[in-house]
Amino acid sequence: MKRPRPVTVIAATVPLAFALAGCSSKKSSTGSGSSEPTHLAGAPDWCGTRKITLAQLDGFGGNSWRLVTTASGADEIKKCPSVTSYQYANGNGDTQKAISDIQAFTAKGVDAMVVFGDAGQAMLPAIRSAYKAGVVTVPYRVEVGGTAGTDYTQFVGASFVNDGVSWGNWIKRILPGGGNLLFLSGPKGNSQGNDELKGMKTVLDDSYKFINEAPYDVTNWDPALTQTVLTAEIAKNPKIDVIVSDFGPSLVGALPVFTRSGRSIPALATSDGNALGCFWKDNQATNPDFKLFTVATGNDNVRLAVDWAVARATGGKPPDATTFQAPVFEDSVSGKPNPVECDAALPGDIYLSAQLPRATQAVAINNK
Amino acid sequence: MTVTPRALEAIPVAAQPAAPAERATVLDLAHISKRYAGVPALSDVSLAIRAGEVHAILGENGAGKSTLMNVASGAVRPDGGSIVFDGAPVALTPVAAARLGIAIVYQHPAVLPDMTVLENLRVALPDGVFAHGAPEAIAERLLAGVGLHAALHDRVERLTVAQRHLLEIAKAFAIEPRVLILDEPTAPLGQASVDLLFSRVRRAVAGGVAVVYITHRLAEVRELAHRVTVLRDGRVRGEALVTDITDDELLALIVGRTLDSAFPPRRVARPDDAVVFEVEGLTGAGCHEVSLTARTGEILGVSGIAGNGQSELLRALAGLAPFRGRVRLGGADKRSRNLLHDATFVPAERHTEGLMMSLTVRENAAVAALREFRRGGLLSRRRELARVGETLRSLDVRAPSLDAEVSSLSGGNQQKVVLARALLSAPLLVIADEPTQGVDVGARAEIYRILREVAGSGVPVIVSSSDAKELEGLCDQVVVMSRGTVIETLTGDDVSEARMITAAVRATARTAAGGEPGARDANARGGLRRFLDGDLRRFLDGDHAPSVLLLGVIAALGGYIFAHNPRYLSAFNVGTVLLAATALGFVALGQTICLLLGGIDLSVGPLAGFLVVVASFFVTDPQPAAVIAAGLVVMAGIAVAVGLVNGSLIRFAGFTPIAATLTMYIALQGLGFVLRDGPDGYIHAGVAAAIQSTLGPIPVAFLALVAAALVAELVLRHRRWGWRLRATGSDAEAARRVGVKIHRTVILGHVAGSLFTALGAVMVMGQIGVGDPRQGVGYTLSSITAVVLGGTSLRGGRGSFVDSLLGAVLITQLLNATVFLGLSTLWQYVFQGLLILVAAVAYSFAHPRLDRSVA
Repeated sequence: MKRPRPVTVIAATVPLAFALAGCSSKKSSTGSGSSEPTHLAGAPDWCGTRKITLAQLDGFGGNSWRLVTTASGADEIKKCPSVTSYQYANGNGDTQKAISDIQAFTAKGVDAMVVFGDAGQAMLPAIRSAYKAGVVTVPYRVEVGGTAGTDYTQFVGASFVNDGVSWGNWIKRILPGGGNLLFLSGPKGNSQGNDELKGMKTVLDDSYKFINEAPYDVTNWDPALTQTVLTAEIAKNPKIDVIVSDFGPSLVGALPVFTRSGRSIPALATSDGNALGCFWKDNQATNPDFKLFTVATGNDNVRLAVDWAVARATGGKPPDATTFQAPVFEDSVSGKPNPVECDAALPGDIYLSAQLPRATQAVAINNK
Repeated sequence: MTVTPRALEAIPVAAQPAAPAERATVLDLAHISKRYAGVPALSDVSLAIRAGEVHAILGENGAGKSTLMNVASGAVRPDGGSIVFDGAPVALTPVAAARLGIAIVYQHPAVLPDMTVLENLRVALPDGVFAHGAPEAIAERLLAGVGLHAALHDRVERLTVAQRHLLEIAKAFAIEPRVLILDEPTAPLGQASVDLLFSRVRRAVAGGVAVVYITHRLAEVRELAHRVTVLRDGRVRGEALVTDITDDELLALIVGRTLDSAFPPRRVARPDDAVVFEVEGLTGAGCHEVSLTARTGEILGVSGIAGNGQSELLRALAGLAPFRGRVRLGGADKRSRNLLHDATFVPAERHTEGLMMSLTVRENAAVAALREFRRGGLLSRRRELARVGETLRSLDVRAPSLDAEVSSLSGGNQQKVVLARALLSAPLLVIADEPTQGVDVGARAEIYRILREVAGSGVPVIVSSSDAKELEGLCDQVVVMSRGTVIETLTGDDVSEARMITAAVRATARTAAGGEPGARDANARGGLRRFLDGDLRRFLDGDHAPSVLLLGVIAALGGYIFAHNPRYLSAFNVGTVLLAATALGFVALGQTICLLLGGIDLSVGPLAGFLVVVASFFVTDPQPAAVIAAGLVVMAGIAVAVGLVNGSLIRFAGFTPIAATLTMYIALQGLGFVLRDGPDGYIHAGVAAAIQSTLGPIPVAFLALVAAALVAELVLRHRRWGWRLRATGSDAEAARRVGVKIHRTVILGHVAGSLFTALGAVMVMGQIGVGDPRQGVGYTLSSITAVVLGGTSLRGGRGSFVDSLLGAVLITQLLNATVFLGLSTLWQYVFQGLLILVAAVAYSFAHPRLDRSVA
């Protein structure tokens, strides 16, 4: 397994004089399917025997959802002792930093990386260069373009279309005659919101009217901006039947506006969060229209990406799935698969749908 | 770097000019009038300036001398009258005047502080001056001709006031003018420099040059001039050959007024009056060995021709400037910080120093005395209202209410509010600099009364005024200052306008050292101080200091990481880091231009992003080469347009650089989303590969960046274009006066900056490979960081492209280092913050502007 060789030169003072000999030959083995999978006894199937180092890269690592996701990734990695070293880097919302992180880890010689490519397609050249340098590269959740085997090892997406379909079906059930829907998503141009809308449109006909800006109201997934946007929409629209959002807990700040203007909080089709569950429990009695339906918010998406990266780098058996399917989590109407959950003893910004134990999540978000 | 005495040339100093025959009139100003806001500055002034003679213009402060010379040099357009040059009527502008050979030495030299002595000469003088021979040798000759001994490569900022004047004079002589106007050229000069200047003037006159010499000093008129014209209140009061008129006749023409009776009666002196205020041997910036005493109840006047150390003395006594010497007040020795507390200062600059214009009358009056209104930890509103109201009433301040904004009051009432604040703070000493400037006649009398009452209560009052008549009416004792020292102390009946003016204009004392009096003494300190002031500062002040510092940091950080992980210098890492630094580096070069201009360009980030979006329609995979080339041309065209708009908004629409480029920032982001609402349009793989191609491990683009930075640096230092850029950023007004076209410089500078950003966008195009309207924004902040790390001043006028390039490399290296050292993002910010802090401290230490403490 050849890697870029270190160069032994005196640290020259002029960057130009950074002299260099290293070669850029690819690592020969990236755990291609041709060889027989190995398996480390006592570990999951995806954990092979080759010792590796692995890096987890975040494009934007600040909020509680990301902290829980990062902790979930680390938790998954711990299941495979073949990973001898685990490192994390946070791009902090700066594309240039995120690109630099990928390149630096590549130069540093990690064997595998999972990449939350927030900047989307703009990350592809960096991801490709890591892959070409022989690193097992698994971008996940955010579409970065390109194709597996050419630009990266494997993309582990989330089925946002599927989330949209789940919401659409539930909306049809509670509001069979059609109505006014308000759809909020993240930054302008994000593909997740577009996919979710596509999913809803496969289920909902024209009697369901989206009263937001097309294709969705922009919130940047920022609770403060969400509150501003939602407050304006509530004032503007006397009739809102269902609010759809792909970041449920961010709605909590603005919902009391309904109560204050003498209206019932409407039904919500969204993703889960402890704060949202507790808010529903506190307010459902006084708000007759307040029904709640959530899909798992997807912290466990990273686990599938880690499984893939570790399997391909250690020589283990990759999972069958290449897409994370967010399960339906709560439904206040049917109580299935779960009734609305609330753990009032723990912080509001943990996610009860995630595999990571609640108490561990609470530690993760408090240690940030 | 001081002006050293020089052997005088063989022309006898006292040689009285021969009575000239009637000489040809070169410049004829006839019936000139000029009004400012309805107030006449010049009325029906006629002046014939003849070849081969020195024509002195005499007059008090505000007599209209400088206005007349601004008319003669084209800087001010008269309301009426005619200007005839060589027999032909002309309409003068500064450029036209320069072309005709009219040179002016301004009282406040038009020099550019951030540029070197040599660069100041080269940007101000036509190329013809330097055409024959090495520029350094020619410049040395020009400086030697006026006795200026300064290193050609020192920044003018480091020159003393006297040296700057000599530089200004050197520029005027360099173009071999036909008419030479000297506006109080000797005010800051030492004797040797004055003698040398006079001999130069005599030689020029002998060669047929017409010289206009503006002065306050009779002695100089006698020494140098053939003919003299006296101005008073904007009118010609007399013109004569110097040999035909006596000093007393000239004085009568200059003064020519009688005292009016708005003044309160003076104190009657008693023999047992105690001395309450005593100054011995006070020396500070601008004043030298000043001694004075004041007795109970006295008002002490400080007189002299404006700019002879009066303001500096007052500021020192008010505790606003450091001094050496002894000051006793109320029986105790006082140091500067005691005086800051004990004395109250009524400044001449009422609007900027005396009042907070947007606060109310009550707040302005009360702010210095808040301690008096304290009750517990809070202010007692009732006590404040009572005391402030009482004081304002006693001063007869006419304001609509206590809570009216002070800016809504008349000048006289504003000044009374300043006085009210002074009195409320219960001072031990009251110092007033030009207390009646811009105050109407009625309010003047009130202010005189108030000052007299304060003095009567036993608090010494010191008043400086350029109006000798005012001091005559108000003061019990007057000291007359010239060149920073007291040349006469007048008491009793000697306190008269005539005595004051006579003393001032007859003064022949010249400052000993030839620089700003006393200014140099402050530097005489211990060894460490000398090191910090001298060698280290000179190094940090130079253009190469940031390069050395940055290279040192880059090498140290690189060495440290390399010791931890030898992969750090792998070809892959070096290549990717330098490639990322290239994108940032080009944008930083563009940003450097804007900062050099004294502005800033916030729109560089969105412009880079927008240009990539534009490229994503042309530079994509199935497109033929012609379309790709067209795309690159379109990118350049957009960059030029953006630069034109930014520059035009700043120069023609009155936008600040921040407002103009912020507008552009938002507009470009919006346009990006109009073109694409999400990432799309993959950049042509071949083009991307070409952009990122390497020579060994080094990206070719980085080599191009280094070359571009070096060429830009060369232009900045050694070409007229670069001098104009820095001149504009250093001092736009001075640059305009030396002939730089400010509009054109700023606008073209922004165009060049945007074109550099376009080169950065080409790099970003290869780096992200897709048209995405969300990308690029981050380059605004990181480019500014890179440029500031490179030591470019946010105030404009100084900086370096090479240093900005190194700043960009360092920032990129830091991003890379966080991963290599396994540091959290926090450390990235800590590192960057620390570096900027260190850079800011180091560069500001090296580059102190003379900001004094303002209490």
